[in-house]
Amino acid sequence: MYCEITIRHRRPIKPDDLKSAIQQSFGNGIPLNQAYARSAIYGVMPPPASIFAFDLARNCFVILRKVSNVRFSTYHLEGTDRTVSVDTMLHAVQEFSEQITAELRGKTLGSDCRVRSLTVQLFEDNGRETGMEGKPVTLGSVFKEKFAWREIAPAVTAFATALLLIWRGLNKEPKQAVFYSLLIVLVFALGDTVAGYWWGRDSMKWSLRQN
Amino acid sequence: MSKDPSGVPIAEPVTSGPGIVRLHERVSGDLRKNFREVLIEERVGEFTPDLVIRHGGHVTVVEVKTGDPTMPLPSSANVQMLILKDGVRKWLGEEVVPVLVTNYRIDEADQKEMADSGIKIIAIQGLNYDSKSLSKKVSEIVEVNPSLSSNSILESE
Repeated sequence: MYCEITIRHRRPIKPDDLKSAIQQSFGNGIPLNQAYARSAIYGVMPPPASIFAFDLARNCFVILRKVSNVRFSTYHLEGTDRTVSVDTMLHAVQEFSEQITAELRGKTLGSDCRVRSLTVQLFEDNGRETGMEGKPVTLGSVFKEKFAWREIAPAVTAFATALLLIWRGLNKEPKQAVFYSLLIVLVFALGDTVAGYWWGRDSMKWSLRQN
Repeated sequence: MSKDPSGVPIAEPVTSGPGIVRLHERVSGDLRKNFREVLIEERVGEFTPDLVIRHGGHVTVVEVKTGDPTMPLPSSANVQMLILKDGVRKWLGEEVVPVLVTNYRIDEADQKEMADSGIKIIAIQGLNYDSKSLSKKVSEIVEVNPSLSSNSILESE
């Protein structure tokens, strides 16, 4: 397996500038044909062109493949041989991602080349997408996760219940208050059921067998 | 990506992208259904395309690559297509035209690289793609193959 790391830059970037920045930061350059020979896919057939290749820690190597759409740069990261596990490769990906993000933050290339987003895709040796994709944890992604409906649904239900009871003036009518509370919970549960079915109707839900 | 409490870096979140596999399977399934009478179902080796179509003495290999449509085409796509083409050519002993069906972003450099390698690209746009239109585009390539020389991307919608 191998990874492709795609960086979207804040501003257009020149391949030569990027190459010299990476050469300064990572060193350990290796000839491209040597890097191709180590790769599961490029060992079968080398690509027409790449920009630069270098060794990483953890027995991995990187090929700076291309700068495309002007704002994207793409890196091929793979283990030097088949003994490098996917777990080790993912550690190398993380370290490389952190390092290159820091380097492009302005030390060498100026703020224009800063990383706007970074995506890692895992591929089979034959070039097929595995469907596994990684992105760095950002304030935005954590915010989105924490404010997802499944996280805030209980609080919203309690809020809606309290609001209804106050609106109907039922704080002194315990029986009706209980009835309305139950009604609100049921309405939310029903809404959740319909929405869950609607969004998940074409997918399969996996679970761990208990016996 | 983050570090766990012991300081060891952990790669997270590494998750299956919603819709990625489904789109790939839907597109290849639709093409398989529409071209079932001219498909070669036999499979050989690690590098196997999604579809191998033999029609009128020509062979066309179709590979469907789907992912995040805001991302550029994976840099290994060109080589993957050429390996698939070579593999089928050696296997069947006939000239082969490779066709890439994708929802990734394709820039001019990708177009040129693919065109230089003789790879036809058909762009699709997500889950609401038009199956009939896609099959029509593939048919056009299959019918006129290998004389079709247009280098432009064929839009399926």
